[in-house]
Parts: sequence; structure tokens; C-alpha cells
Amino acid sequence: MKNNFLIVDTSQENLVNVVLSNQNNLINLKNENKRECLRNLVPMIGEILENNNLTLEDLDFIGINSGPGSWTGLRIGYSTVKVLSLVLNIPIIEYNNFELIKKYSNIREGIILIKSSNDNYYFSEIKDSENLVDGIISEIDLLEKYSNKEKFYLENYSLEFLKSVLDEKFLNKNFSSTNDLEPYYVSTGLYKEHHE
Amino acid sequence: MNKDIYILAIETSCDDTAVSVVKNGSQVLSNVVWNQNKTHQKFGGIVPELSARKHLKVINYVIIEALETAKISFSDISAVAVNNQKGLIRSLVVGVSAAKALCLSLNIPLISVHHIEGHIFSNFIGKEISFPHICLTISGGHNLLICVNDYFNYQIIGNTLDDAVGEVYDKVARVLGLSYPGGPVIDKLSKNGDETKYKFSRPMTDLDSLDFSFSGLKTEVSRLKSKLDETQTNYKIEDICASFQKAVIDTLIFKTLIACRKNNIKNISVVGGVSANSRLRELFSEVGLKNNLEVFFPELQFTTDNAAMIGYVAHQKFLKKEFEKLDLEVYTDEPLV
Repeated sequence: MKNNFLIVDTSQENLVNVVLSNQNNLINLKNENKRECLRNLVPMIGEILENNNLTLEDLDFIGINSGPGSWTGLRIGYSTVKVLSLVLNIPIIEYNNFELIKKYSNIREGIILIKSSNDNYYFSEIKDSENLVDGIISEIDLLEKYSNKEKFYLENYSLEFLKSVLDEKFLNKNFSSTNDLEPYYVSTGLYKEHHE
Repeated sequence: MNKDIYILAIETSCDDTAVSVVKNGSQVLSNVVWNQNKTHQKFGGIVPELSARKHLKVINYVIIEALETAKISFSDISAVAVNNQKGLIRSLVVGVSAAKALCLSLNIPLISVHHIEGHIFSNFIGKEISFPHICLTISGGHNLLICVNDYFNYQIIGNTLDDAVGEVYDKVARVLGLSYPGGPVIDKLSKNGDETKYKFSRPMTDLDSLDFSFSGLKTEVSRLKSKLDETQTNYKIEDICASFQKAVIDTLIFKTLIACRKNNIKNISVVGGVSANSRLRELFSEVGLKNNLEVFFPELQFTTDNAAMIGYVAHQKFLKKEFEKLDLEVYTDEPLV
């Protein structure tokens, strides 16, 4: 174990977030310009490693946020990380936004909401600490259907919290099989049906 | 002794995930194309979001297959090339991200290639065509007449005003209840049809222009079919296919010949997916013989979207050390010049 890892989060439309854990030191590189994910992600990975005198070979694994969120952003993150993993044989560990929020807010019952495009939300309904159902819902349906449920949103969790989630998965050897990886699109209808 | 140059090229502009290894510019060691036609067949055309999802799903496997077929490993690659200009944005970003990740992890240069530039030189794989020549690019996404003066020296002299010719094939196929993609199926049915049976117009051949406009032909076919169905006239779908196809090919040839005459050029290069069409090849070759012009077609595997053509162009850029930084972006409809 080298005690270093990298986390890539491209799930939000206007944010590229790269986190490096270097011997338990946490370093964070963010870019908050809209639509600049493709341009910035790979240079940011190069930069954060170089600034800390590390190379990709020094990583135990790469963590990636699987969504739900911006489909194009997620694909940029995934395509990058899948290929890095393929070339250098570094394991990948996935985590998702619902899981993060649920752990962070310690939710037993309620509904987790992540803003999507066109007044829609990705949602996950939690009951007895279990995810009942994930999906996409419009703002209007949300008010109608879940008005009496407690709602939870993506918050600014600390890097330490994020690290603890990834550390636990690493201990449990929760690795994903690199070549088949896809983001968590939470899609319905057409896309789901035709994309096995 | 000079070291061999291996370029790994990636092309994900539309619905094909393509990766190729090209050695020293001319030897195509592998040309892997992961085709999505089956996915899009139900819709009679390409669904961009599905296309992007498929690219991401298979990209690693296509890279692995390209390396295995070429019998090389990651450490042998000298540079990575990618098409980042022209295509569906959601699809392009998958290939470009993968290309950048390869360069970062292998510490090798990144080369960008324009999709159309790739097609122009798809006809150079395994042969040389002297400069200048007239290049007709015909596919589902483009329909251009280009005067190719030299490497990286082009002049667009004709363009489509509406649908590209391959797109019209797809739409006509849909009108006639045929499967997607339309080109191969219409070409096949046409072999048993009478191409003089129905009179379709040859769009814009009465104008002194090298531009194309094929969308009206789709309407003509659609009207004819409705009329035949309404009047319960017996007809063979093969005859409609053959007549439509003849109108398209006549128009393409007519414009290409004017382009040659205007520029006093004797060499014609016909590239892109539609250049695989068998009747088009026949007629172009006949006309070439008659007019003392030489007509060149790419090998069939290099007509539709492929990465070998990207690798070919990239080699030329590699020699000039024309490399990109890892902040490379994509351009969905960047003009060639």
C-alpha cells in the first residue's frame, strides 16, 4: 500500500473537483468554470500530482463520483479514469452522490435531491436507512408526491468525510471492473431500454 | 537506424467507436471499428445520447483490441491522435478524454486531426494520389468538394446547402420502409431495379454552382410513393431505389466534373461512407475513362468512419512536431479551412 489516492468528481455541471490524498494529506484542486470540464480535467490531474511530487504509478487507486449529475461531465471523468486505470493497472473505486448525502446527513428516512436540467431532480427515496427507489422527477411532481417528506440536498461535505468514504471502500476492496465502467445515469424510458 | 513510429488513433465523432494503430504513417496494423448500427436501427437515425453512452461503454475494449491486433503494447506507442473537430459533441468528448488520458499516463504527445482531413487522406492509405486533386467527400455528415493542393492546404469549393447525401439515403430509406443505414440497403435493392423508371430531378445541375442540395429529392421520393400507394399502382421498390440513386450519382458526378474543369485538375478522389456505393463507383469510373480523368476510391474498410485515416494524417503532423496540449477541446462543426 502506497497510501496515496486520487478522487475525480465531474458530476456537477459547473465544477471539476480533483482531490489527492498524499500520505493522508488532503489536497484539493477545483475549477468552477462552466463547461470547461473537458479542457481542464486531465491538466488538473497532471498538476495536482506534479505539485506533490507524485506520479500516477504512486496511486493505490482512483476514486470517481459516478453521479447522478451532468451526463457529459460524468462521461469525461469516466473516459479519463477508465483509460488511466487500463494503462497503469490502477484500481478504480466508485462512489455516488446519493450515497454521500445519505452518509453525510445520516438519513434514516426522507428524500435526497440533486438538481438536474430543466427543473428536474434526481431523487432517491430513503426508508429505514435503505434506498427504496432512485429516479428523475420534475419540480411539480416533487411537490405533489413528496410534500411531507424531509428533503436532503448535496452539501459542502469536508474532504475528510470524502476520504473516510473512500478509505472504507478501499479496506473492503470495493473495486470496480475498469473496462465495463459507466456512470450512474439514473435514466428512465428510452435510454434505459436501449442501453443494456 | 530510425525508430519506428506507432500512432494510436481514436475516432468517436458519430456512432462508431474506432481505434487504429498506424506504423510509420503507411502501415495500418489494426483498424478496429465498433459499430452501433443495431442500437440506432429502431430510430432510423442516430440518437446522440445513446451514441455517447456506447462509446464510453466500449472504449477500453476497442483500445485493447487495436493493440492486440497490432501486436504492440502501450509502451510502444509514439503518440496518440484524436479527431476533435466535427462530430457529435457528446461522442467526441469520450474519444478526446481517452486520448488525453493515454498521453498523460504514457507521457507521449497528443495530436489533433479534423474529421474531414482524415477522410481526405483515407484514400492515401496504400497508395499516393498526386496533388492537386479534387476530393469529393460524401457521407451522412458531410458533402463537400475540396481542392486538395497539398498536405494541410485545402480549399472548399462546394458544400451542401441542406442535407448531406448519406443523410438523404437514410431519410429515403425511412420513407420506403427500409432499414437504417439507408446507403447499403438502397444500393443493394437498386441492383434489381430499373434506374430509368422514375424521373427524379438532378438538384442544382442547372446552376453554375458547385454546391449541393439533396433534401428536395427526399420529398420527391416521398411524393411519388404516396401517389403510387394512393392510386394502388403496382410498383417495385427496387425501381424507386435505382432511380433515386441514379439521380444522386448523376448529380455528384456532374458537379465533380465541373470542379475538375474549372480548376484544370485530372485526379478525382471520392471518399466517405457513400463512396462505398457500388453503382457510384461504376459510374464514376466510366466517366473518368471517358473524360481522361483518374478516379480513386479508398479501400472499403476506410470509407466509413475509421481511425486509420486519423492515424495517417497524424503521422504527417508528428513529423512536423505539431502537438497539442492536454487542455485540447472539441469543436462540433469546425470548418476544415
